[in-house]
Order: sequence, then structure tokens, then C-alpha cells
Amino acid sequence: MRDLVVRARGGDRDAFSELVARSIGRLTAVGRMILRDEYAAQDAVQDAFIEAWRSLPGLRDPDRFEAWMRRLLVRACFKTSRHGKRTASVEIRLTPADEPAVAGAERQLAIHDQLERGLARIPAQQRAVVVLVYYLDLPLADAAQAMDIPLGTAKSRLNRATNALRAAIEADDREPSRMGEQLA
Amino acid sequence: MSDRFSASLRQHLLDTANERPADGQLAAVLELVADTPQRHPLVVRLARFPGRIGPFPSTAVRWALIAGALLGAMTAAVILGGGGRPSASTVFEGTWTSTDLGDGSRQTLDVGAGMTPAVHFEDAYATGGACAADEVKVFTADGRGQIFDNRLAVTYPAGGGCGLTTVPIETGVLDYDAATDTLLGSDGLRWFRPREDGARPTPLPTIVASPRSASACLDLHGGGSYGASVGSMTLTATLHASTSWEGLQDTFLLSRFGCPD
Repeated sequence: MRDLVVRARGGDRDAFSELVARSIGRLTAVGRMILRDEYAAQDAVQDAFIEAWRSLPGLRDPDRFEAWMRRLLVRACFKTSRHGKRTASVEIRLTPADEPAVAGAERQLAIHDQLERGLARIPAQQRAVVVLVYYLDLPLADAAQAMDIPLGTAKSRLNRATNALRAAIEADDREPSRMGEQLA
Repeated sequence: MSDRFSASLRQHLLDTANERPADGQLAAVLELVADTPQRHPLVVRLARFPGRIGPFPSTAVRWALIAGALLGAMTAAVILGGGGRPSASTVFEGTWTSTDLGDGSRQTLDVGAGMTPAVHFEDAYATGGACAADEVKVFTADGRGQIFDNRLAVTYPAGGGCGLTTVPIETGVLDYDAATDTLLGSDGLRWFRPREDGARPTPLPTIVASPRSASACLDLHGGGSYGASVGSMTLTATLHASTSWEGLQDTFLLSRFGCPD
């Protein structure tokens, strides 16, 4: 990998192509999770790679390439989500008040569904830190660096995100009759 | 990550992750890379200023400092070298127009020749507080630009105004879009070359539904006003002419990569 980065830094497009091929899958997955939009994620990944190619001559330490790419991707994702120009795809789900409680083996499916909806509701910046820490398994300090934010800010965003996700699970676990009372 | 919730969250992300690139995505990236030059290392490092200018974290200020530093260097070079050749033409040179989305007024940007062009900005009818006391509400500002690749950064050292009051103006950053021969500002505003007859850009038409296929996919590349439903609401998007926007007829969905199957 280091050799490829050094060659690509010197203008070797074939070396850069190899770097792209090796990392595009993972980065696209991260983009999809942060933006929750296929086309926006593809745009962000594309923008990140183009910026990487253009700015690679300025990368002093080739061993930092992966961390640097993550940073470019997160930046591209935030830019895409800020402008909101790419796509607008809105999904509205309504939970029936009389949905029966799930139990046993269906519980895991319910948790997956609740987490998915919870992730859809939190802001992209909170989602990003969740993805970096829980999916890429990065230390929080590395996640903060990828997001260009101080460690304390990353920590508070992660706390807010996980609290929101926990609340999403707990809210959906309430009795249907209590849900009906609250909505009335 | 020792608690059960963290384990569930991590497992959920691993289970739902899709690491398969989209069809053609890799080829598209490589094709763009083939047409893109690399920046000079100095330009890259100047643009970053990682933590060296602590009180000035904003991109606008960084670009202003870059522009100022290079402008100073070039001025010194001209003075020491006793002048120079006529400035070469760039894609930015000329007059550009846009519409102030806030009040619909016409805005003009005149960009001079060369890599550090003189720039003149004018808003034909400014409704902001800067011109509240002026009878004539034509807002103008004169600045200097700096071109890097396809990007123009413009600073306005003397600010701008309608005559009675001068207000500071943030550095403007515009990217040249070769596909549409337009400029895209960092604020999302798009600038066009004026029509030869001097008319304003034609008001965007309302797109008449012309389904491309049985799935009611609308071809929106001509630009216009696109509206469709989102639940009980109707969302309307204003699109400028571009190469590949498509949308669904019945539900609001815009895409540059074709309607979903």
C-alpha cells in the first residue's frame, strides 16, 4: 500500500487506480451509512477520490493515506448532506398503535428495525461518528480526526447519537396502550 | 464497547453494510481521475493550514489569506521584473449573471483577464440592510481574484455598498463547471454567461410530465420547476439546465443516475 501511495503521489495514475479499487467498496459502504442515500453516497465517494488524486502530492506521510481518505470522504459526505442538492428521498413510516408486541426470535429483527429507524432520524454528523466508531472500529480520537473536530466534540456527538438510538429502541418497546394515550 | 447495546449496534452496522460498489462506479471514478490534474504540493499545503492559523478556521479566511499572499508575491514579481506580458485569458474571464434568490434581483460578476483578475460585483437591487438608507439600491463591490485550477477565490478588501454605507464582504469562492459552462458559488448559487441579446435568463418553465418509460421517469435535463408529492406534501425543486437530472412523476425523487427500477 505504501508503495502505491508513493507512486500515486508522484503522478502514477495506475497506482492510484489500484488504491481506488482496493478502498472503494469500504468507503462506499461508509458513505451509504452516513448519507443513507445511494446516489449521494456515490457522489461523495467520487468527490473524495477526485480530491484525493488532486491533493495527493501534498500528503507528506504515505502511511497516513487511509486515515486521510476517511477524512476526505467524511468531508465530502457532510458537503453533500449540507447542500442537499443531489437527491431528495423521503420515507415515512407509521407504526400502528395496535402492533402486537414481539418476542423470542423476532426480537432481534425488531431491534434491527428500531436501530435502522433510529439511525435514519439522527443528524448526519452524529451518524458519521457512530459509523466510524462502531463500523470501522476506530478509536474515538481517530474518528474525531476523520471528522476534523476536537475529541470532546466527537465524544459528545457519539453520546447524543447513542442516547437517541437507545431512546428509539425504548420508545418502540412501550406498551401499545400507552402509545395510544400519548398520541391522543 | 462492552455493553449489550453497543454490541447490537455494531452487529447491526456489520449486517447491513453494503461494501459492493455500484455498477460502473469504479470505472466512473477512474475516468474522472484520468481527466484531472494533480495540484502542486505547495498549493495543497497552503490550502490546508492545519492548525497553524488557529483563530481563522473558516475556509473563506484561509482562501483570503492564500489569495492575499500570492497576490503580494505576484505584485512584487511585477515590480521587480518591470511589468509583464498581457494577462492570459481564463475560463473565468468575462461577465456572469445570476439571480439573487432572496429578492429576485439580477446580479452581475465581471471578471478580468489573468490568474489574478480584477472582479466587479453588482446587485441591481439590493434589499439588505446595507442599502436601507440609500435611495439608489445598486450594490457594488470591487475585488481581486485568484485562480487555482478550476476555482476562483475573490476578496473584496474595501467591502461593498450602495454609496452611503460600506460593509465587509466574505471571500467568494466559485468553481467552474465545464459541463455547463457555468460557475457554482460556495453558497450554491449558479452563475451563467449572459445571453447575446442582453436578455435575462429565461424564467424556468414548469416541466410538463413526459414519462420516459412505463415507470413514469421524467427527463429533467432541460431544467425547470419539478414538483411531486411527498406523503401529504408537495415539494418543488427549481432546476437549472444540466446534463442528467431525472425524477419520478408520482413521488418526489431526483437523481443524476437515472430513476430507480
